[in-house]
Amino acid sequence: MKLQGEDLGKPRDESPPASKTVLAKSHAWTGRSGGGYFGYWIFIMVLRVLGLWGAYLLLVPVSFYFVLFAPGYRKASMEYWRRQYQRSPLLCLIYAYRHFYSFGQVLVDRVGIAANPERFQVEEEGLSHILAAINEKKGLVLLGAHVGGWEVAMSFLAKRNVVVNVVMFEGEEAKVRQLLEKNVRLGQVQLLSVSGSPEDSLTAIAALKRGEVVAMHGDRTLGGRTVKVPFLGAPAAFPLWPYALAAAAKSPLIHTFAARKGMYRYGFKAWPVIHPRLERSEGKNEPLREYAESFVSHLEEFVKDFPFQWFNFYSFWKQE
Amino acid sequence: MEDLIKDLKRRLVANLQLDRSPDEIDTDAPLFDEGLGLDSLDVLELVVMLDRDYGIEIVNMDEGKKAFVSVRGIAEYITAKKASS
Repeated sequence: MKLQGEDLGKPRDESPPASKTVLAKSHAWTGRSGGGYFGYWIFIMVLRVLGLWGAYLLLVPVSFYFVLFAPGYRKASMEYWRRQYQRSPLLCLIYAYRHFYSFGQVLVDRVGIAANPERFQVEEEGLSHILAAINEKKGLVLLGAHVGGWEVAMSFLAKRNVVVNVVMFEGEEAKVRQLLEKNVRLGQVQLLSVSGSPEDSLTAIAALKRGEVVAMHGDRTLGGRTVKVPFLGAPAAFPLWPYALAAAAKSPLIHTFAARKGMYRYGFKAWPVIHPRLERSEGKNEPLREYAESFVSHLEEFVKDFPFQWFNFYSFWKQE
Repeated sequence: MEDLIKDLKRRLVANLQLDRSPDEIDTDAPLFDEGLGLDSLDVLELVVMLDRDYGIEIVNMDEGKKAFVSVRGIAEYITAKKASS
């Protein structure tokens, strides 16, 4: 493991504002990660000196701290485990600990990937679906979720000659911008900040009409209209906007998730293209329901295969 | 133009399932916010509707944004497009 100090900070290509040093960037680290600047700094130091294994070791007490002192996250995690496995609260609590640890690993890996991408091996399945769709130049809606390491998928696209717009809700922006900027390879990735307004829809269509990729998560409702679909046995709200967007722009849509599969190993899967259509004169939300259901079935498949890589740490089944 | 506006209002109410009759729609009211109150999904339905019912595909979204100010704005956009095609 050779995560040299220089490697962490040095830009790896010519994209100018993208990197500086990771430490300098971390001033803006205000995300939900408890511990703030100091905690982040310690992780960077450990990563530099001891490498990935050292940082993972540090996750052991940190995850334990979260189990004890982050009741909101703990509750959300335990609810997930209850629905996933229907086990006792004690077992769910132990799973919650491993859950936080697994989340930490992906966060640590992010820094590692940004610093030293060659070291990581990414297995792909279905990348050809994405490349074929991009070549058609009709735009592409890439639909992921808060699972595994979505930015791994982004790094695939960054090497291609295509503009990728990552949709995020206002407020998430600063956090995600920082995350993306740290990955200096993401030359053509830009952010599309949305507030749920009608103008957002027109902006997103415009990007698709230019043949660009619009990437977003299909497990956040973003305050827009939703449909309730059973997920792990109970109805949860999923957004309809991604499918309506693809229909309006006549763009293909692809589900894609990436998972951490082991030390320096990620797997990335893209499902075959679908072409959502918005039919008239049925119940208002119903024409799009089938697309949300199909997404949820793939999402369920993912969390059955990689149960510890579900990263929605809030009461997922209660959002409207 | 008046026929087109009438037709548009009727289709808007039917497709977007608005809680009002076509006659109650103010031709010059804004489509979004305090006017008709269309949301981010409605506007996508509107784009699909223009394509399907009027054969108008909005390629340039800057034009689209100008058209989507009111029912009259859309009607004028359709008329201009039909005239130029």
